[in-house]
Amino acid sequence: MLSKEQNETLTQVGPGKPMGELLRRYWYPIAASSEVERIGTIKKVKILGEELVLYRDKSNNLGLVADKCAHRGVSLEYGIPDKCGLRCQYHGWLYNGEGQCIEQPNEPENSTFKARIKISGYKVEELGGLVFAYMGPAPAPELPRWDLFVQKNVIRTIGYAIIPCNWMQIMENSLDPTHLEWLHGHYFQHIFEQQGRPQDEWKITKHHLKIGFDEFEWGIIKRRVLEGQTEENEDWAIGHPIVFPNMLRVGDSGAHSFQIRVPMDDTHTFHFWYTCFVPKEGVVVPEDYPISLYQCPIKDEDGKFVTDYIDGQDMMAWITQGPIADRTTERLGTSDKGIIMYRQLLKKELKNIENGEDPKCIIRDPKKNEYIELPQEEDKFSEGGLLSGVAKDWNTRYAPNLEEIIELCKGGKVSSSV
Amino acid sequence: MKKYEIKLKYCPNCGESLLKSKSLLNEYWIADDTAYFCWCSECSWRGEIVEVKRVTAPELV
Ligand code: FES
Ligand SMILES: [Fe+2]
Ligand SMILES: [Zn+2]
Repeated sequence: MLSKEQNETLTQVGPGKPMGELLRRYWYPIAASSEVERIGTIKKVKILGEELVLYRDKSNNLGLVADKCAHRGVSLEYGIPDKCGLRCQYHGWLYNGEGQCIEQPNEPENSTFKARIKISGYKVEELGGLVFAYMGPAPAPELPRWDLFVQKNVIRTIGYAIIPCNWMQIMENSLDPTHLEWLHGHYFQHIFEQQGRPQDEWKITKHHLKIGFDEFEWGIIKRRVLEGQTEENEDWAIGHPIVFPNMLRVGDSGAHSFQIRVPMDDTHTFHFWYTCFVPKEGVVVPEDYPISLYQCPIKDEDGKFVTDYIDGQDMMAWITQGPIADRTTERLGTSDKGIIMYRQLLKKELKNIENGEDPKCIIRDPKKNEYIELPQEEDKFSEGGLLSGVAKDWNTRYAPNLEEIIELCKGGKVSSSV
Repeated sequence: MKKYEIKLKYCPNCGESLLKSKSLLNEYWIADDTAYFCWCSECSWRGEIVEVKRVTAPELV
């Protein structure tokens, strides 16, 4: 349980708010590269409380600027990508990638007015099929090259959803290992039962004997010992990380994935499920195989949460806590220690930036950023490739080419065109 | 639910208010006991305080 003020500090992400300022120190994925591949494309996004437009100009460069034209406030979502920047559709003012106005076609030719007009403009970079933005103070740190973004010989998919709740309750779910045996275990069995599906092959109900959390260079490593296991098992000995501040890494021997939480505003979070399918030993998958993009449904046509897949269950748990979880009424027990640890880590990093230091996970040395390997247990729950085995019960079931990916990873051939 | 007040208020190390929005005063429960996980943004002290309701020595049971 927290006071109202401390809950607000953790959950407010807008500019000028303490957590908003900490979060601005990091790069965030804001689109899949495939969404803005074509010259002239514009995508509207909302990140850390700011409405922005991402566009590809006629020189094939991406730009990210404020959605509102400084002239009379129309939305640049309907602007005209120019040779170098984005032009407002209303009266033709042109903004470069930094948001500086560089042309006002109907003002006197030698007017200096445009020099005093600037809208927000932020750095963007592409990596691993995603477009990332940096909205913090200059100089921008390196865009971290986490292993899954740069790994060779894997097949990638990108799922996404706009989650109508604050980013913190999504992150806290990642520091809560025991929900697995319930939300994705017993509850899943209950859903199977309701749907008349066989339940006996479901592996996730094992009871947690022990959970542990260790801070490491990039965040927190989460560990568990399940019934029938010891600390020798990979679930404990290796574990898997929460990469500070907003990413979860999960996986097994057949598929590894990142869950990336991008705070849009205090009550919305842009969520990515970024998966790398790892082929069977000896299999080489086609290098130019496309990265498919798919939306993960939150609710069905009756307005009920879709709870017959793992990520749908998680979304139900995140969202039903309310737009911003009220931590003044929560009742935490000892199994919630990971959540408390994560809250404290956020506050500690907040203090670091106040002291003028870089917070955790800011990389400035390009040599350190060639390939950042993260720990990840592969023998999950002593069941080997558990997650890839249940790819159809994960968000990846919405990937239009899932069947083909599974075939390719076993050494099969490309059969369709995605 | 009735309005609940967190009992603890001050950092045991430096005496600053732990209710400051940048500190962390997280109440939780360990079996019968109420516990407070504290981190002070002033002096960076981190520790836990457990309210004692009944003095027991579990290792003797
Ligand atoms: S048992 Fe944890 S939210 Fe209900
Ligand atoms: Fe989950
Ligand atoms: Zn103190």
